[in-house]
Amino acid sequence: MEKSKGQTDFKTKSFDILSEFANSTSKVVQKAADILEEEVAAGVIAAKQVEEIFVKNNKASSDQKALINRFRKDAHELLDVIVNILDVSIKYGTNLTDKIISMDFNNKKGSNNSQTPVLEMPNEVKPGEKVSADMTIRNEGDKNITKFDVFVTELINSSGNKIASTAIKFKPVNINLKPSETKKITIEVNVPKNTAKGSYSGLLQANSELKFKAILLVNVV
Amino acid sequence: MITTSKYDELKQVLAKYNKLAIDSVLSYLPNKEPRKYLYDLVSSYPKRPGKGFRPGLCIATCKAFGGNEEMVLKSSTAIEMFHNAFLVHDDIEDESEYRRGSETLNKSYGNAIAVNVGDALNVLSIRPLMENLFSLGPNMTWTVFTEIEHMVRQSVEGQAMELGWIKENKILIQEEDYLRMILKKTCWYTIIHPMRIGYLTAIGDTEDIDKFNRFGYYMGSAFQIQDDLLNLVGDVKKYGKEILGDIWEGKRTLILIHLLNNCSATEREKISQFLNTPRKNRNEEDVCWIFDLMQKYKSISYATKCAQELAGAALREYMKIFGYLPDSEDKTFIKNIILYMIERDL
Repeated sequence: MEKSKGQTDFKTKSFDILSEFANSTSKVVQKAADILEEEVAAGVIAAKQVEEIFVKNNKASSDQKALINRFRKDAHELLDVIVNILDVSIKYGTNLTDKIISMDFNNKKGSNNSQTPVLEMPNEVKPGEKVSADMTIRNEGDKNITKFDVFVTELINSSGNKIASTAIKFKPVNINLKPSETKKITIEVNVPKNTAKGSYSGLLQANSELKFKAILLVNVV
Repeated sequence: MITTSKYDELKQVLAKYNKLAIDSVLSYLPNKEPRKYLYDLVSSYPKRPGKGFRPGLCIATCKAFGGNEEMVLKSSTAIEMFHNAFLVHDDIEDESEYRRGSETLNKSYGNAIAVNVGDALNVLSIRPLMENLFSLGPNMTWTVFTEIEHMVRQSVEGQAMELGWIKENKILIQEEDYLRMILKKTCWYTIIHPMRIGYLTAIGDTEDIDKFNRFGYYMGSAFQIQDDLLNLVGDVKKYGKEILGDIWEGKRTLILIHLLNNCSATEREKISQFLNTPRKNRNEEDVCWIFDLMQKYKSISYATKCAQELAGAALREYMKIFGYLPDSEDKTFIKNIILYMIERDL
């Protein structure tokens, strides 16, 4: 018996009639079942295979550009837009430690646009443990960058659980970078013991002049 | 029959989720130039009173499986925007004059403007899907995209099947052809994919997702057949479209297909001539004559029975999918909507 506030189960004659239909062998229903089987075999399975190939390659491929290009080939215009977004997610989403983040004072737009990259910590982490990763930054401009610093908001998952910003540290701080110089920053996330499982994200932002923004993603398992 | 108050209860839940989705849709529509022939018009269909089945089923399925409204709202928004884009283009393709109680965009502004408005709605629907990236992560965002891609592709293929029948004046269509066409044109995007997306968003996985295919197909078929029946016997004020409009358009409904397969050769020839005549040259007398034949050959009652049997089969599938879940408003809402699909009057 299903009953809950605001929605009453229709215990009516109509449902009884439907239940009788449900137990009978109907020609139209049988035809529909056969057609669905054919269509699913032709369509959804094919789509699923594409999805599986993508996920597999997403994890394993060392040449993600080639993967994206393969998807682009013959794709519909709308799909191209979709692929552009996934391109961003792949570039920034799975290779935090490999990615060099370019900084340029002259480029005022920087990354401050709708394609905010996602920086995903490469390893999953359990509550009570910490996870760290190196982020490489490079000064692509022709001026010195002084006192480069990164700030982060609290992280939140889809159920509203949070990890405080104080649990996230950046080392070293106040970095100076000459033109074309590259340095590493270690991001360390100390996940509190009582943290619920889930994918947590928050906004990461550098000194305002650099216009660099990214989503930091931490997977707690 | 279900009492009016019980219908109202279900409609309230539908309206609640529809409002969430429509408010979200409107938030994605640009408030800038060019307004007069684009951005003032893209909100036209979403603002009209719609039923909201798609966002309703998407959000309710997500919640029934432990998710929440927020996590699935962007996907529901995109589905509703794609739906409105389909409607705009569908009205052009069918040369329809009324939609949701008002003049269609093509009637008011002409085909060129309407095509562009539909294109805009299609493109604008990409944005909420892109934004899933920040809340659902890259893999789930990709999975939702693959669902949407399949949904849209099936719909245009189904539409092409139906338009092809009309263009070639195809008379000898079988029930199987019709069932395949509505699976592609209607069921994937009205029921199956909204529910699949709600489910996978809630559980974070595509495991067992295909269990929604049968349920959605049976329910979607019942919905489409009921829609075709309402076009013949509904109240224009409630239904919002022209009554007998499908006959005027020569639409290959289950009712017409049944009639063509059961009437005399002479009658079939005359119907064929009617269908071969351009819409603007068809006359009311012939439309009414075909409607009378549909009654004479019990094509309407046959379609009604098919809708009931399909809804019954949907109920059986519902028990398999939702039976083990804890009771909730959303679980009951989905069960009640099966019956509503075939008893609705709008």
